[in-house]
Formats: sequence, C-alpha cells, structure tokens
Amino acid sequence: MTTAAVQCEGLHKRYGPHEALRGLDLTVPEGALFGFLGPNGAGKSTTLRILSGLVRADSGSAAIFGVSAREHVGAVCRAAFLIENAIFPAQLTARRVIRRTAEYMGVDADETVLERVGMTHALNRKTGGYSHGMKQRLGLACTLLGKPDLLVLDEPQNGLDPEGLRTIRGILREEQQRGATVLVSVHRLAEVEGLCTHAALVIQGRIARQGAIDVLLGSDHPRFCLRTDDDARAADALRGAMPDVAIDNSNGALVLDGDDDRAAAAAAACIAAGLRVFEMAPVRRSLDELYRTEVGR
Amino acid sequence: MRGFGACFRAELSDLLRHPLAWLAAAATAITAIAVGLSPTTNDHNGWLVYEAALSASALAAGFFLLGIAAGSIASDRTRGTIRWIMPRPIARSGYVLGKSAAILLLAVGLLVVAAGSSYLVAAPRGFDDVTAMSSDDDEAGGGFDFVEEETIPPEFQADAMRGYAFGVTLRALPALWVLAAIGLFVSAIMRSAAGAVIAAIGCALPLQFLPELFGLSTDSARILPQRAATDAFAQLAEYGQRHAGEPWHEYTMGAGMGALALCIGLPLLAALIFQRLDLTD
Repeated sequence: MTTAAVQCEGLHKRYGPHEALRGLDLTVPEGALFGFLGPNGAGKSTTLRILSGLVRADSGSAAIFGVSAREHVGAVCRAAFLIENAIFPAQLTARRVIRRTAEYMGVDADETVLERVGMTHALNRKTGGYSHGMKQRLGLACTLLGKPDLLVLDEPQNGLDPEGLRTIRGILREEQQRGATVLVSVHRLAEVEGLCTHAALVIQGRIARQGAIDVLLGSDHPRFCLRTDDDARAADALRGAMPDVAIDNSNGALVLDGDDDRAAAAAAACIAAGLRVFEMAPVRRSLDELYRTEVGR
Repeated sequence: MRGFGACFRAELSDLLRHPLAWLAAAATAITAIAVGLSPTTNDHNGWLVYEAALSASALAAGFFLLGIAAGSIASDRTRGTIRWIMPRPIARSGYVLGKSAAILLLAVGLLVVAAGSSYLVAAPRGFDDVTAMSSDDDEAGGGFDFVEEETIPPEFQADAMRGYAFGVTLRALPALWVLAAIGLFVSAIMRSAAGAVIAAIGCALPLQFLPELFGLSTDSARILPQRAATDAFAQLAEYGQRHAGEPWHEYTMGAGMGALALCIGLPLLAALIFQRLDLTD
C-alpha cells in the first residue's frame, strides 16, 4: 500500500457567507508530482493554506505524512511551502532571506539553492527592489532548503519569464527524482499534462476528479482516430454500420468513441465500403478537454 | 513555543534596521534634552530636571513603542510576509512571544536612552539637596512656584532624591512595557497595521483615567508611584516607614503589580488568541 504524503478528508471551510471548501477529499501519493487544478475560487489556495497551517479548517482533517497538518507545521520540518506570491521583508537581501528561512526551519543556510533558481546575481540586493518573478524564484529557493520530503507550491509560475518557467519545471522534476513529493497548484493545463504524474481537479470546494494523469486522460473514455483516403465517405459508412457510435470528423480526421473492438469493427466497415485505411490510433483526451467537461457540468 | 528564539532574533534584527526604532531613540533623546533646557526647569536642582526630562522622554518613547508594537504582527499580515514565516516549523505562540520579547527589549533600550539623555541634561545643575520645590499653582495657571525651605525635609535630601530618581526610572519600565503589550495585543488580533496602530492608541488612552476609578485625582496618582518607588529602591527606611501606612501606598504597589501583570499577560493572551486565527492577508 502506498503511503499518502497528503491526505485530506471532508475538509470544510467557510469565510463568512462564502463556503470555500465543501467536504474536500484529496490524496497525494508519496513520490508524486501532483498538479492541483481548478478555476479561480474553487478552493485550491484554501486547501494549501490549511495544509500550511495558515488557515484552520472548520471541519475535516488534513494530514501530512500521517500527521495532522496543524501539528506537522508546528513541530517537524518535512514539508516546505510557497503560498501564493512570495513576499519578504523589503530590507532583507536574498542571502539574509535564505539565512533567516534556514533559522526558522532549523536547517543549514545552504546558499546553493539560490544557484538552482538562478538568483546568484542578486544575492546581496534587497528584495524590496526585486521584480515579481525574482521574488518567486527566491520563494522557491526557500522551499528547497533542508531537502524537504514534500513541497507544496501555490502557483509558483506566477510572474516568471519563459526561462524561469523552464527552471521551475526542471527543479520540480529534480525534486521528484530525488524522492520528494511535489504538490503544485497550476493554471496552465498543458504544463500539468507534460509535467505531472498525478492531478486533481477542484470545483466548487470539492474534488471532481483525481488520480494518475494517464488514468484521468484515457481509461474511462477510450477513443481512437481513423484516417482514410476519403474521410467524408468513411463517416457516412461508419454512421450506417455503427449508428450508436459518436463520430467527430470536424478536425481533419475521424475521431470515434469506443474501445479496441469498436476500432476493429470501424476499420472493417471502412474496408468493406471500399476505402483505404491509412492510420488508426488511440486518442488520449487532453486535460483541457477534461477540465472543460468537468467545469461545464 | 518552537521558533521563539528564531522569531526573537529576527524581530530584534528588524527593529535595529527599522528607521522608526532609530527615530524613536532620537525623539526620546531630543525630548529629554528639550525639557532639560526648557526655561521652566532652568533653575531647578538636577534631580528635578532629571525627573521632568525622564517623564517627558519616556512618554515620547511610549508613543513610538505603542506604534512599533501595534505594527509588528499586523504588518506581517498586511504585507503578506506571514505567508513566508508561519508555514515553517514555528509555533504561533513562539512567533508572538518571540516578537513580544524583542519589543520589550526595545523598551529597555529606549528607557536607557531616556535616562541617559535626562542624566546628561540634568548633570550640569548638580545633584545636591533640593532647596526649592515646585508645585502647581492654580492661580498662576499651572506654572511653577519656588518655595524656599529653611529646613530641608529628609525626602528632599540628596540621598533620598537619588532613590527617588532611580525609582522614577524603574517605574517607567513597566509603563513602557504595558504600552508595548497593548500594541502587541492589538497587533495580534487585527489584520491591518494602520488599524492596529489606531486601535492601540485608542486602547492606551483610557489607562490615563484608571486612577480615577480608585477615587484618586490624576495628579496624585502620577506622584504616588514615584514615592512608592522611592520607598522600594532608595533604602530610605525612615522615609519608607513614614509613608508605608498611607492609604495610597497599597494602591501604588497594586498599580505596579498590575502593570507587570498586564505586560506579561497581554502577550500571552495575544498568543492564545493568535492560535485560533486564520492568517489571511
């Protein structure tokens, strides 16, 4: 059985009349690079704030490596957090920020983390003069101190230039390869698809879908793509032979819902209609499609 | 209490870099010097000048301290730096009490500045027996009158005045700490730094009127702790015996204990309340 790095059960949180979380259940497996998705106001930041100990849940439980998040944050140092935009006292230099963070955490002030995020050039500059992207990089550097077992990052890409985005992607992969679990709240769906091993979609304070990316994008809704010498005729032939199958020929190729048996039957129907079949391949759903489907419900 | 030491050192380091702390020290010193050089204290004995300069400069320090303390925790929330600090392995009580300890230490520093400046400005007048005493003169609109004393009472002899001045200095410390504690308390429970400063001033002002609750005029209440402090610190047995039986003696000791209880209790209460808050900015 895989240990959960993060386990939330029935989390409820209300801010005045607004119910931010409505029984959120989240499981982040140990070692995963976990994308946390959802529209604005869905409850992502509130969940991460509860895990970080900044906000108290009204009910439900949130645990990090089996220890209540509230106790975990106050007692041990296995998790590091970057919650929303990184902000530091303006009068401190990056070097001092690293030293002070290390002191707060009770770990060595390892300045090599600044090299990893590409901040060595601004080591002795006060953070008050930093751009938003530089602060984000420094915030990320702080989370790398002490080699934590869990990194929780709330929209770390905010304000980063393309080079910064590449850097952060590289760091997240390196951390996962090191054995750390990474829980990252992201808005760019393509980024999650290419980077994360797992994902969860939050909608209106609840988890709509969660699991391994491959499972989320394929197994429950298999589809395949068919390319023939005449797609219009092929579509007509298939509608006649397989009237119950949804066929989409709007994007230059035929895309059909169905499993392997359906694919074989479709190929046979096209050949029987005198068409030449050039290509047949499974189609993976995009995360964007999954997102739009779930959010639109 | 985990994180107390780290938060204490961080706050102290920030305070030493904060222009407001240096401005507070400068304003405290300038107030002491201004009062000491003022024409109203021109002919006074050094002890009286010291007392006047210290009282005024401690008041100036108190205002700054109130503002600095009120902004300390609330500004972390207003700026968002709380999101950098609190997700670390730091107990909320460690955070509040660490900051409190640093600000209480700043109060000691400001008092040293106030006392040092007051002493320097008073020294040229000489620290001899007080041969003239001042009193409010209602008919003259509250100005100073000087009454020559043929025989100097024991409480105005130099030794007694030394104890008196020492007592006045020590008395100022819990007063400053109470102001800092009020500021910290308000700061812990409010989100806005500006709001916390305003609220702290609003909460501190009624303290001035507490003596009225005990049936004492504000003027008498002001002088009583000084005499009590003299009693406590000057080792003037005769003076102490003479005043120990006076009805206000217990009150002044009670007020001193109350001040100490407030400056310890308020940060603890703040830490307790802070445990339950959602730290959103």
